[in-house]
Amino acid sequence: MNMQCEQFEQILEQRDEGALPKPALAHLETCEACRALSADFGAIHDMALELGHDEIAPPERVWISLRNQLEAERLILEPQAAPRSASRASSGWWSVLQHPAVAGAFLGLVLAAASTVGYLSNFAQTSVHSQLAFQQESSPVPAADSVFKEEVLTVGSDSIPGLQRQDTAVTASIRRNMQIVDNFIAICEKSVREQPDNQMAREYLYGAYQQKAELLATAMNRSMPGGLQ
Amino acid sequence: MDASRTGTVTRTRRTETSEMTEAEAIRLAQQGDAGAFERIYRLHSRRVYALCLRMVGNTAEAEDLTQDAFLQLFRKIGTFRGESAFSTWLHRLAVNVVLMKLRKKTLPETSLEESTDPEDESSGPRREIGAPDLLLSGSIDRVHLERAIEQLPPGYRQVFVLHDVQGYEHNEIAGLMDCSIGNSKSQLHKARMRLRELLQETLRSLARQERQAAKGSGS
Repeated sequence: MNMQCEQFEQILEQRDEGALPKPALAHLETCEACRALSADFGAIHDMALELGHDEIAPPERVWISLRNQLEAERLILEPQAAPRSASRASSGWWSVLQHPAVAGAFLGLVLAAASTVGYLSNFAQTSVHSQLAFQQESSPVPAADSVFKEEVLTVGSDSIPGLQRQDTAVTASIRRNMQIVDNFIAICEKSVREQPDNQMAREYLYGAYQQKAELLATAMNRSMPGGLQ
Repeated sequence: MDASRTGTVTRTRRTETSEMTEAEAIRLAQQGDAGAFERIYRLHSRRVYALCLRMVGNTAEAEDLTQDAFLQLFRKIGTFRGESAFSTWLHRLAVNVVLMKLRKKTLPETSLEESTDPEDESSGPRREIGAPDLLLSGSIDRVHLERAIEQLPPGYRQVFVLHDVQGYEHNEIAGLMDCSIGNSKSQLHKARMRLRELLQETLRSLARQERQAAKGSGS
């Protein structure tokens, strides 16, 4: 490499985009090596620019981890606190229920409503069994599920005196309340299935199982002669 | 609510989220809306991840950096007032996250002082007198270039990715990397020289393989 080539390389290094100065162009005409160098730099630059338009999707775990972090830092606000557009507000009570505090309060209200009922009756064994079958098929949390089943088995119609008594209004009310709790359990189970690592969703599910067991236990106690009623 | 209805609601919400414009997503994200955060992430994560991957050349680190970049973004999104394009803002933030992370690592072979010293004749690749020059134009493809970029020392790679891949100017790189414009130019030049060497080696290797394959098929 002679002196001229070194100078050319310095010019190449220091220049910004644009044409080379005349002395450099003159050198290029006489130097094959520098011509090749300049052409190679151009080829590398052009190919690199193409790479700049590339988009590579990160693995989904990046978003899951990011979302958990956002929740932990409370950057994602409670659904009712974050203003939404009118169309998005239509997701209604379902989305509101997904928040633990609201869901807990809601279930508490359900229990309170149940406790005001004078007496409970007509818990058909078939209904209990259908609930058990549902839980057996879809529960992603076996430990909580087994605890729940133990609780529910204690409130079968065979073991609850007076359970066969009929009271249409109360029965309908109880069924509605049970349906709400069951729906909440279904939502929780869906969340756990979709986000197995979401500890919060698992806690809600455990809580929902517990609420249902307590509800059924309360129903059983109130149906007994001399119960709280 | 039965399971099918739950699914419908979920699908509807996803559709709404995916139809959200960037401006609406930014506004809602500033109010803490979860769907808006996800929308912004889905819109920009590919570009940010690609940037991180090219800057560090390691998928695990690139994932961490992508997460860090978006976390920083969402922490600061309340301050975004729309003076610049959102993507530019995010991009610059991602670059800063990557550079901050790399600064924390000990990289003796690529420290700015060492590799950008203009008096240091031993630093950086040099052209050899009489060395045969293979013309790269028309011979290299993006796969070879990507592999060569991965082999660059981190210091060279950062400047090359910022300038030639991402299109930053030297004065911007100097600001981002806290170095002089001259240093940025010097680093870029050395990166290109090293890339040229690596690509020429690749071409020679490919030529050898072809010759061997031709020999094998001829015998």
